[in-house]
Amino acid sequence: MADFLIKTLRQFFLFGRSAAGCLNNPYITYRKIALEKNNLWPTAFITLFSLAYFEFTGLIRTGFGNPIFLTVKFNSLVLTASIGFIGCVSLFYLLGKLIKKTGSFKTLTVLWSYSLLPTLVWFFVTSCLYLILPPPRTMSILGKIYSVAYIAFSISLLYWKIILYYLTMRFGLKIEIGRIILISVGFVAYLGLFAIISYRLGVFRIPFI
Amino acid sequence: MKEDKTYQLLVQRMHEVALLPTQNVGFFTPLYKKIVPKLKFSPWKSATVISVTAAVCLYIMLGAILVRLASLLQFGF
Repeated sequence: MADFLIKTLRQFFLFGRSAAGCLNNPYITYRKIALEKNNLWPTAFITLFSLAYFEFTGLIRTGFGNPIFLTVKFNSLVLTASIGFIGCVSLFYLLGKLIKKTGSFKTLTVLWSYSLLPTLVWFFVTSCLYLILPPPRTMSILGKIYSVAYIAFSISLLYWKIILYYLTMRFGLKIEIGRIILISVGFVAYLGLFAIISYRLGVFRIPFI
Repeated sequence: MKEDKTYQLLVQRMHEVALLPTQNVGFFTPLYKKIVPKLKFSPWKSATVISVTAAVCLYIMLGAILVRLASLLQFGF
């Protein structure tokens, strides 16, 4: 038991270092992650963070008042996000096969889970801001400044996400930019479909991908 | 020779080239090679500049719509 705890702590420390690397030196970090083929610990940690977020958002949206509704909400968030994640990795894998470049499914899973970091940060911060400064924003000077700052924050996380997506393709499938653009067309179509379905079902207004 | 730093860097670079196909985007290759290092190392610097500039430009172009967009996104979690 003590060994397992020490191992978990060690892996968590390494995960923290890689997560910081994804922000500071994404290329080198992703390269290193792609070479550690059988390490699924980061995926486990990111899954735990995602579960914590779903619990948190469930509480914000439904409160403690209705535990049954809270459980249903939590389960629907987990299920939809899992389908989105597994769908993305499978899509990359299959499209990779289609263009005759077979990446390892495990490597793609780990790389794509790191790309959930900007997603998690955006969703966590947005949820917290929803509590601290509930919308809608007004047309006052403070409202405008806040809106510009919030949009700038969202764009910077999208930028980070795009970099991590590109690196997932580059190191997961070992393909060059032309093929990455080709795969991206399929990915955008999948993303659009996932966004529409999860919105219609009332699970995510913005897809958790 | 194995202690030589330049040699080690060359070997490291050789492994990198062997692992990934080289990028070629035709006419845009020089531009690509110029932009990519900014994304590889400390991309948060360029992210900050680009996002703030884009947000201010969007505000100038869209005005009140941007404020409404921010509200909409805040409901989007």
